[in-house]
Amino acid sequence: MNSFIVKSGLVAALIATSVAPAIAGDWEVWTEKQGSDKLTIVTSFAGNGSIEEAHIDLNIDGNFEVVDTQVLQKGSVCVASAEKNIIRSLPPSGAGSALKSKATDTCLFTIRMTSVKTWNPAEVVTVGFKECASSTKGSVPCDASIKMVK
Amino acid sequence: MVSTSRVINIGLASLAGLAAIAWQPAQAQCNTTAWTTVTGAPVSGGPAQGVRIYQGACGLNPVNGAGASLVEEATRHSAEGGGGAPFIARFFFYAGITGANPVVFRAFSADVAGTQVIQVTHNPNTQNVSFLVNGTTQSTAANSATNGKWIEVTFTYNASGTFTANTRSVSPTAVITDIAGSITAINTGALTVERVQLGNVASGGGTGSTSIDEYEASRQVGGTPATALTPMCRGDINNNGSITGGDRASITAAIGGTLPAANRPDCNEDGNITAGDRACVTALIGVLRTCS
Repeated sequence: MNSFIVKSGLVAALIATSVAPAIAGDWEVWTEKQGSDKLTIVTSFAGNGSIEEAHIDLNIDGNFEVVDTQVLQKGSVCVASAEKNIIRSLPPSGAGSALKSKATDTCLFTIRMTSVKTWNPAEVVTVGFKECASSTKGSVPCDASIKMVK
Repeated sequence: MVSTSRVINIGLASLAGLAAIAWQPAQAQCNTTAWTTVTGAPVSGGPAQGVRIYQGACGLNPVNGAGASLVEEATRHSAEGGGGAPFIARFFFYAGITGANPVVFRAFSADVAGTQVIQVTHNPNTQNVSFLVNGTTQSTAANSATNGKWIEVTFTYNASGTFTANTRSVSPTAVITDIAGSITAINTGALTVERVQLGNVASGGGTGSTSIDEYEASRQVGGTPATALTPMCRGDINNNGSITGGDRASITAAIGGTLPAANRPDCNEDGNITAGDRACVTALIGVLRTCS
């Protein structure tokens, strides 16, 4: 993370913002426009004391290409595919233990919009799928919100 | 089960109602009462009984050694088919025997006795599957059915037509990779399938043990075609049609002994339900694997 902060002050600010306390059992998706065509997305998850697994797939409204994908929490799944229009984040499996209640950044993605001339970062990113689960309760409700760094 | 094209799934779980209740402790009592004949005292059960499972709470471990150990299904087919009606089937066996070539499946032309129509054998030395039909043997490619893995076998038998078969298993070195096996079509005779056996159905031998699970079959009845078997999606542990983080939770539950009837927790298909299966699901999620 340190080397990344050195590379990009803007994104460092984005990460610092995203670790603010979230409502328990929530995904927070922080977006920040960089220049005319780049978009940085940080996914962050906070558990609720029982959630062991969390999963979010984001979709992008418009053509894009993936510039960079970074794992911010070791063991997370961070994968982006422009072809399939999926930006996927999962924190490491709780493997029977609840995920942290404190919001923890999972992944960082940088994409370049290739077809949209004027766009708002909070509008081009949508939640395609989200899931939270526990080995004892099965599917557990959780929310996801998309936020824009100003 | 449907009224015309029959699908029989006698997956060795007798108390399906109990087993189907998700997120409850597994209470299924495994037995072989759904089968018409049991020979050689194969063991039905789940992981707690040392029996490997592919789906649900119950599987079958044939007893290895001298003599056959098998379950047999006969009378359910007695009023069906005939002529050139295709018979399609799928089952899973665990390739766990070395030093001998276990015959894991046989089909016969009559509910009692009859002539052998199909024989399926695993070859642990070449790690492939052989199909003997109408006096002709065809084998899948070497290393297409590796030892220590569940092997999915699917076939279509058309009397006075052809027999085709496919196998699938997981690569022992790359958990996201499935290995497909197939054979050249074999010309069949006029005999139809009326009785099947699954287990270690011949003379046994070798070391280790095999397991059987999820036998399912369908055939044409009258003018209604056989019902296609629903594809099984590896990694979709909770059988909801997608591979997601929720499947990892289902594996954790399975490790703890919760085994709903529809779940398939052995993602890497190595015969054990462990953290390795969670890693397998994670790997499939990471490559955006879908069930379509």
